[in-house]
Amino acid sequence: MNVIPSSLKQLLALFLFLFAQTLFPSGAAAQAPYAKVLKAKRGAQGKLFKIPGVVASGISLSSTGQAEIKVFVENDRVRGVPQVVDGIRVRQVVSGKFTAYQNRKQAKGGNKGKPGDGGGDDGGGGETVNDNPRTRFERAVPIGVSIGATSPNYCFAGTLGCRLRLFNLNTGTSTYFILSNNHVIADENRAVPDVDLVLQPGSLDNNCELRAEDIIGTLHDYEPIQFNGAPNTIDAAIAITTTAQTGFATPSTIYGAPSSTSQAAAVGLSVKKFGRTTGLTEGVVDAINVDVNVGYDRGSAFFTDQIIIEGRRRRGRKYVTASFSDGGDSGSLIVSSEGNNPVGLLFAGNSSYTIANPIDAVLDRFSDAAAGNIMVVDDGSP
Amino acid sequence: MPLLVTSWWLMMAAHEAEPFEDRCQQVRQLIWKMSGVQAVGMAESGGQPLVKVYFESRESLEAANLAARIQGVRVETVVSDAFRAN
Repeated sequence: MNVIPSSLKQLLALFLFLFAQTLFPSGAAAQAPYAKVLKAKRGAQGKLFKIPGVVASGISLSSTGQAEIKVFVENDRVRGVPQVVDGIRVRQVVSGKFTAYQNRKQAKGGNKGKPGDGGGDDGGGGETVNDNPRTRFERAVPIGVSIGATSPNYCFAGTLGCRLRLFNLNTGTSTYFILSNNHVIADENRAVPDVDLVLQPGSLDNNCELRAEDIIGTLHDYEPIQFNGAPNTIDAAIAITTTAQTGFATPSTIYGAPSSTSQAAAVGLSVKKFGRTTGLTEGVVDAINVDVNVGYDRGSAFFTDQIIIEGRRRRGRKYVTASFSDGGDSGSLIVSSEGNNPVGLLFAGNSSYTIANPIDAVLDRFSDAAAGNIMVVDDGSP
Repeated sequence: MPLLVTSWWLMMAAHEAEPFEDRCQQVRQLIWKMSGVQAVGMAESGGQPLVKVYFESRESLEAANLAARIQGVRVETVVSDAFRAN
């Protein structure tokens, strides 16, 4: 039953409105302006980008807290940007051109390692251990070292992430695989499973030569990378190998064998990796559940649910920011600093941050639970 | 007066106890559409979860803060180059 007079209701509503404004001075009150600005920006987007020298537009806050459209231009000679669009103020900012994706693999890494640099394998009793990941290793090759594929028509090297073990629960048998990225051993979807081969070292570290004696595996399967804007979750591929060709641990001077027990990334988790270009590095998980665009030779690809890592190194008692990875480290297995638990598969980065696929997503992709096949990171246990 | 009541109702509706994850997701979707955004993820500071945004240019940072204010979600922004496959 409605017993409150209409005028009293309106008075109550007015009171609540004023009270709410004091509680939420910038909350929902800002929502309508933002939507209006977004609509205005989208409406003007086409015209703005026809103006020579306009490189980007966005929505921002003015110094007085008002939403406004911000237009980024190459230099202060750009003319024709309107001052107002649909009643929304437009601010012009000189930003220069934004950096384009660097996609040319053959330009990365730089160091063409000579076959046999450092000599010897990593396990020889009393011999000097070769822990230069860009060199050729005696078989079985350790993990974290230079690999490449026969499919690219250019000189290239990435990293052997780890040895995987596909264990069949029904028969008790195991099959072994090399784990790396699609863009390292499957040439961004262009390689052919059961045809293209994996080489150690990669051709970039071998005078751009493809040699039969360097074969350590055959491409078996890969997750295709979508370049059409559809979301990707992993950049991964596996090649079938043998325990005689591929080992399960890093060179003995590094961290040794990864654990077969994976660990989900958490913000603040300390991690490390051993890779072809920057070797052993340390870092910390900076963000998880990340959406990100990544540049490839074939274009940009959108990834969801990724891990971002920031590199760091110890200086005295403190940690300082440092590089975690660079071109050629793609495919590296990222493990927890304590316990060597697999956390991620490194596949991209920039000058400050590294991006990795969650390792469980990778292992799930290449497992087949229905057939009793479980894929795990091989820790060398029988 | 009806307009006033409607405004009040809309405002209150926007601030109803929406799950934190949903508000984060809305903020992330808004931010992802902004120019210069390289990546958006979840991080934390002082044990409190927050949305972390990696921007190409410092010029874009204010826009993310605006989106965050709308939903009452904390946002941390850092400047970051474009990401590329390694």
